[in-house]
Amino acid sequence: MNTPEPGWLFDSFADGVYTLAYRILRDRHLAEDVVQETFIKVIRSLPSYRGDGPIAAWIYRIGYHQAIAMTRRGSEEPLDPVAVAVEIDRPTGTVEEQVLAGELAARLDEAIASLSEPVRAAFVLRDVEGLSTEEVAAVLAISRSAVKMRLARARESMRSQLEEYLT
Amino acid sequence: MKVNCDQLTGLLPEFFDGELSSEQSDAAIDHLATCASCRLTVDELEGVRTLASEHGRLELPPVSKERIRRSLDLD
Repeated sequence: MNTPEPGWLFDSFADGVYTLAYRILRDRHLAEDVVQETFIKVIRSLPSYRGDGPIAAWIYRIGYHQAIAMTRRGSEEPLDPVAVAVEIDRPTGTVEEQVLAGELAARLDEAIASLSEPVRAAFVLRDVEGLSTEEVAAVLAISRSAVKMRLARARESMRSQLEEYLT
Repeated sequence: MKVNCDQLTGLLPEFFDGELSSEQSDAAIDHLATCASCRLTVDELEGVRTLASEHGRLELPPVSKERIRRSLDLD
C-alpha cells in the first residue's frame, strides 16, 4: 500500500475535522487546536497505518477523540449562534440573500447544538460530512444499528426545529 | 408486502441509506403513494439531510489553515 502524502491528507480532511470539532466544541479556536493536534497524530502515525479501513474513518476517529478530550477539560463555552453564522458562513449574493443565509446558518447551528453529544457526532459525520453508516460506526466505535438509532433521533429533532425551512 | 405508517417509520433509516430489500422498498413506495402524512415526513427528513450537507459544513479560515500547515511542516 502507498502511504498517503501528509499534505494531501491535510488538504482533504482539515475542513471536515474542523467541522466535526466545531460542532462538538462550539468554539472555533478550540476546533482549530483539534485540527492541529489531529494532524500531528495522523502524520506521526502514518508509517504504522496499515490501510485496513477507510482512511477518512481513521482520521475522523482521531479528530473525534481529540475533540472529546477537549470537552472533558471543561472548556465548552457556547458562542452566540448569530455571530458564529455570520463569521463562518460568509454568504454571497444580495443583502437580502445574505440575511436569509445568515439566519438559516444560525438556526441550523442552534439545532445541531441542541442534540446530545453522541447523537450530534453521528449526525455530523453522516449527514454533514457524508460518511457511510459503516464509517460512522468505525469512528464512534459503535454498531451500525446504534448509528441508525442516533441518526433517526437526530433527523427527527432537526425536522421539528427547522420545519419552516423544509417546505 | 404492505406497510402501515408505524412500520414505514421503522424502515426509514434503511430507506435513506438505500438498504431496503426490493420487497420492502416497493412496499414503502406503495405506502408513500397513498399516505400524504408519511410523504410529508419523508420530504422533510430529506430536507434536513439536504440542509445539513449544503449548509452544515464549515471551512477552516485560510489564515488558520496556513498557520497549521506551516506548524506541521507541510509547505
